[in-house]
Amino acid sequence: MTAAERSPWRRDPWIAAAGIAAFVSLLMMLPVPEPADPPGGPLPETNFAVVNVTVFDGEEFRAHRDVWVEDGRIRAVGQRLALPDGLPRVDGRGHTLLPGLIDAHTHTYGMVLNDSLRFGVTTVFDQFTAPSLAAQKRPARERLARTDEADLFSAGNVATAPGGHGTQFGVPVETLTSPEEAPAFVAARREESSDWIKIIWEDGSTFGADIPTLDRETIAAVIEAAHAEDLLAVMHVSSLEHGLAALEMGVDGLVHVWGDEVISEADAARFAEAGVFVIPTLSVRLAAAGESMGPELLRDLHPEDVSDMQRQTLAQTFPRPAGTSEASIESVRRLHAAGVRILAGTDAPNPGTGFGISMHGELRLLERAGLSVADALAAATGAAADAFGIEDRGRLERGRIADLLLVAGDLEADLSRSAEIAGVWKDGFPVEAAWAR
Amino acid sequence: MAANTRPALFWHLRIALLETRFQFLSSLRLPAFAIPTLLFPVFFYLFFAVVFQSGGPSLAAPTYMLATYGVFGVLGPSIFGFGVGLAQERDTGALLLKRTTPMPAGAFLFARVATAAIFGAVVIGALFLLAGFAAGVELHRSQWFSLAGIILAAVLPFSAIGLAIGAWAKQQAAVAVVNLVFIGMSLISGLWVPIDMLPNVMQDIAIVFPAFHLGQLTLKVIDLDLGRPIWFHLVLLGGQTAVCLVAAALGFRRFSGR
Amino acid sequence: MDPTPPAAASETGPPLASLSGVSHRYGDVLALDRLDLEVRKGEVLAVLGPNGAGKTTAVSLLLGTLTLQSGAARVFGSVPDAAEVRRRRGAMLQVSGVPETLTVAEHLALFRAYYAAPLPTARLLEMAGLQELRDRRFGKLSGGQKQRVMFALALAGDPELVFLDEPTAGLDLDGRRRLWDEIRGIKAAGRTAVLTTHYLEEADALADRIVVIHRGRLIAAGSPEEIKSRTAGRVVRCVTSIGLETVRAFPETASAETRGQHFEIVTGAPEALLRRMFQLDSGLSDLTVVGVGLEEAFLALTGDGADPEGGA
Repeated sequence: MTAAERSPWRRDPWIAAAGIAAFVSLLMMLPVPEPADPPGGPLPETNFAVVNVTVFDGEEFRAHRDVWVEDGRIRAVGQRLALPDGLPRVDGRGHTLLPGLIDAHTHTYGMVLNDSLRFGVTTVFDQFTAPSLAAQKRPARERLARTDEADLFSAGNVATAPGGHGTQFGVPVETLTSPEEAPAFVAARREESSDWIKIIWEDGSTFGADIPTLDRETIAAVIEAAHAEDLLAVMHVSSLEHGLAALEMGVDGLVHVWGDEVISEADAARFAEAGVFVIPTLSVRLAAAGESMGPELLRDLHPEDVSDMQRQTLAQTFPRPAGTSEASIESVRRLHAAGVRILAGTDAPNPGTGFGISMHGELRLLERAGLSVADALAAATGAAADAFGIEDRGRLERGRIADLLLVAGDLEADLSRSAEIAGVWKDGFPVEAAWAR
Repeated sequence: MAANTRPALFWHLRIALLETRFQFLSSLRLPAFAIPTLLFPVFFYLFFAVVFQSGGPSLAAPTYMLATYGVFGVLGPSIFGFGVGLAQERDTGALLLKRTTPMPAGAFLFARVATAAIFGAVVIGALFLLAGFAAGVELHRSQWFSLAGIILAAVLPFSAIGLAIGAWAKQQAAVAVVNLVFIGMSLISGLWVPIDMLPNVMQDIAIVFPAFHLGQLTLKVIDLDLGRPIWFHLVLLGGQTAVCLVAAALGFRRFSGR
Repeated sequence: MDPTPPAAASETGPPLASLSGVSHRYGDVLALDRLDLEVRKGEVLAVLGPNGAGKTTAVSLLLGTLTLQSGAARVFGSVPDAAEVRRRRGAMLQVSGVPETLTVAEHLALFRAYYAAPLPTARLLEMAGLQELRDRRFGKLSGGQKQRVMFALALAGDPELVFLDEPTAGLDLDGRRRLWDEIRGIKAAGRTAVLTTHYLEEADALADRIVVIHRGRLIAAGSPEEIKSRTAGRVVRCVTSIGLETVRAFPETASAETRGQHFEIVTGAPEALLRRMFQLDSGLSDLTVVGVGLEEAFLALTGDGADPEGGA
């Protein structure tokens, strides 16, 4: 009896200890996720997942997402995806994953598509190159394969007057002089595999020159012919006056912002209403004003990835400073505030710019012009794809090509982190570059 | 002098454990307490997180519900144990009788908190097993332990709520009030349905409930929270608990001055 | 109007417990009015009084479950809720239950653990007559059985001083007599007990000494025989022409009052009283003589005949 009386509390500590031990054991036997490798080593290809990463999906940031790549395309983006056992995983904690960047204004030649890709620019929208080059690069963008080049979409041969802007670079250019020639001109571009029509309207007045250019009737006719062929018509202008005139003519987008004067809020609203997009190419605007982003970019990005050509073009300067960067930036601010779709483009390889690398500067300049980090990044991804009607890339969503840029750090908090590249995938294949070593 | 010569700490611990043992036994034998507190969270989870979600592309929902149903799982035993149990012991005079004995008041409170924690541990043990082996949830070991730790710690603020209710309400009223708090707070705090799916008004109201903050803290472990900083939740939780404890103290003061 | 002063403490050394000049109010209601009370070592003290007299208030103050408002309360020379006091004291409260889902043995195990030298469980079961009910849950017990459990819990710590607040309230005659038997046993080990009751019979059956409380005041104290003799009178009821003051002045009259045209006179010697009254008023009519109820007994003790509703 006595033992039985005393036992209740004598056993209690043991029961408590046993209970705690059982509970801890239970916790120890619960399933844990398969290990994810931190970026830094060799990156997985084609079939893999980047787990627990902050995603910029082409439009906005979403924290703690898993991105599942299958056969070079995005299979799923979501929280805590039910990933198959054995799928290679990249630990995305502390990193930001975004769609490969789209540079919406370049001029392509040589090895420039390699230079772009190393810096996370997986697609370039070329605004004037040899049609033969455009045709040659076209198949690469329609297949998923290991590559060391960015994909190319191009305007090909620009619409300009004989002796006009565009003819001075040594590339043979088909020109036109009258509205009657417009339909045949556009049909020929389509035949050459131009993805859209780019029109040059440049009389040189903003930098004190006198250059032959298309007349307004011809420009309007080319726009009309492009639309008849279901092609976008974008235009090079260098003054606000021409920009507003282009708007009246029904242009789809402008590939530069002007530097001569600041647009009024009322005129910015007209752009917004017309749905015209603007690729300000602030990188080249600053370079033209003698304020190139080159030194800053060479300081921030991995020096071993910068090719001789990138270094060379970044170091070049314009012979005559033109316009002011303040006016250009202010115009972009007003256009953006009015709701105009702004796209990121560098106009590389103009003096003071470099392929690929300058996109990281262009993002910073767009932020300086009042775009939020998300809007600036959208200008280089989702918005660019949307503006040019391209649906297989530019966003992290199911079915799109796995063109990915992984950067270390919280990009939303600090856009300059885009320079801290931790991985680039093109078509689901990792890209070799110095930052990986 | 019949004063005990044992070390006081040992004696307190012994009483605390014994009180816990009998508090637990007594609760376990009360079907009206044991069945809802043990089975509700487990069945809810089985139904909404395992059966409904099985085969889905994402484990976000079963993982989310693991965190929130875990908090829900300790809410029940904590506020029913303190709210209804205490009101009952006060109404039957058991509490008064114990006050005439040498029982340390601390042991009594410890026993109730520990009993809620034991029930909570049983509930989250079952939830974790279901989540891990039926729903396919995988968490890092540190996350499993953090979840368990936060959920068990939730017994304290929830007990404070129960204590406040038990101190003020009579037994019958306590049952009604506790049920109201149990269901209302769980719902508004996003323990049943993800809070970002609730109307904004309810999300704003949720700030006043400890269950919201505990839910957010557990969700933070698995990166599914709304993104407010930890200190925000801890400060509000601490304040709310302090308010409940003050309310409880006032209630008991009124009771002893009868 | 002259409460019997408490017996001098020097009789048996310092009292185990005492209330001195204690008054207690619940709102506007004065529950205790400058009450003095002493509990002497080794005695069973019955605190007798009608419902609402202040018995439970007095006990609660000695148990420390009620906060003292004025006066002094000492138990074992300390304040009533001192830890040392709790270890040496046991209590059975008037309104009290314990969790219904635990068994008798479990409740005993828990209460025994509070004390350094508890009584053995078997002894407690025996003392409370619970041997057969050891493993039954509290909720399954009858009212009398429950009270015996509460009694056993009061004794769990082998206390020197036990408070039993209306232990038989609500029990039937059989249950009451059964518990009386158990209570009688507690004196055996030299324990001191304080029992509150509103049954004179219970006080008489169990106590060594009785104090009578009415409306928060001590109105009598003495051995059961003394108290009984002062209350075991008759009520003489009649219609008479004799004046009330004259009747009250009779040596046989304990108290007297009018009810309508009737007189109600409490007396310990009805024959002598009636002889005297017939001499003065041969026309005395409508005569009945009945035994006193407790209420009349209290009235007799208080001499407070002008207020018939007291003690309800």
